[in-house]
Amino acid sequence: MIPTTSRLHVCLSMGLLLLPLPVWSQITPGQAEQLRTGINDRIEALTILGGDYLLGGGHFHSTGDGPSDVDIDTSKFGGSGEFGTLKQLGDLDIAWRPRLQGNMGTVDFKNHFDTPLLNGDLSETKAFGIQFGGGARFWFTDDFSLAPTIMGMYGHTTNDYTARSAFMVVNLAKATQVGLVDWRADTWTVRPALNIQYVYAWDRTLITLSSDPAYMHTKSFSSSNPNINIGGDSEAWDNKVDIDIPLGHMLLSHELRTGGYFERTELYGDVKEGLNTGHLNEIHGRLVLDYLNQLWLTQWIGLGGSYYWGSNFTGWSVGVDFMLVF
Amino acid sequence: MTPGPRVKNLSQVRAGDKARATVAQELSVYVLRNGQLPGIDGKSEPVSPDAKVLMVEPSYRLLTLQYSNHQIETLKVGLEAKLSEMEAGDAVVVKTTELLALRVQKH
Repeated sequence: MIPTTSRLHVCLSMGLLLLPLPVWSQITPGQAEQLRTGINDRIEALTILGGDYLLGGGHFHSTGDGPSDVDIDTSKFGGSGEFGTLKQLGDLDIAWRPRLQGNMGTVDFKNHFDTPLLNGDLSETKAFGIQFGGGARFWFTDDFSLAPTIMGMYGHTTNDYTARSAFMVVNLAKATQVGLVDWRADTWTVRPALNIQYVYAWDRTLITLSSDPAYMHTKSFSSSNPNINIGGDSEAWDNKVDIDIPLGHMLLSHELRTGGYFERTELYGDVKEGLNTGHLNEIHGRLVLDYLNQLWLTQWIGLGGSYYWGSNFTGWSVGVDFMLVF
Repeated sequence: MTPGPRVKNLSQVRAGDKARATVAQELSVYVLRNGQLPGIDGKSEPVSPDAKVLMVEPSYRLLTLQYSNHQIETLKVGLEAKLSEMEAGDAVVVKTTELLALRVQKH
């Protein structure tokens, strides 16, 4: 991708270019603060990108505003669902069930610098995130439901910088000292969210409209450099239309289903700054076998693919489409 | 229980054999109308229900039943099942119509 990588490139390039050439080792407090803000936003964004539902696994390509395009690979695994029998909420005509949801994933990108100052340098940033939480789903009708949830997320982000340019060979120690490169950070994130869902059944086809506003507060609790100190707020508002079509044909004793979705996510706060984009779009298609109530924790297994695009990046993913349900 | 046509070597099983059995069977669920089960000849006969329908999910072919002992079971029904004719609260009779497979290992 992506904006994140572009951001890294821009930050690093900015920081290093701002140094007066005769005294490269002199980084002013103002310059350092400017760089730290960018890096901290990026760590927050990468943690969310790695551990949250925000973006599925895949291969992404930045066409961003940095001097170099960057490729990023992400992997994701997660699921959600309600469990137990439906209960009545007091005397109200509302049914509810507890809900569990979890997600984990990694983001791995390499930025090969080809600018004159940093030519040949390699910056590799990896982020791992895992989140788990729950809440409840409340049905107001058979079709319309709300699910308030709260999740906690742990994130681990590292940067490794390989200096080959004359400039960075000389300045690598200084850049490391101020927390520009070769850093690591551990973060926690709390994520309250609300899922608003309407399911329309047309014969056996399910059309699901959903809206998911989410707030994320992220803070670092451990880092390799005192200048890496994350504490920020991000918001994401995800809107999705999904169609799930049973095909009425059996394969390997399971019914074939097809479908897909279009999803648009608006980004606000630090995640918008860190990813350098205000929105993400995804269009997804799938062909799967129905395993619901036939294999533990599984709704379907099959093949699927997504195409992603935003204001300055594109991406795609193809692979096993596995829907986990609790 | 009626063995289906694919069940083989049933004659080799003797009374008193110790066996480990793996059973696959076909169930039929009949919806009662006013406590009566329509017969083949079109005449209805009164029948005691075995369970009531808790939930019907036609898209994924799920039928959730609650038996008279309060046990809850969700069945994955066949493509030919007429789920559109069932709804929550219906009283039903559950019958085993055919034994599809019985794997017996003698000890």
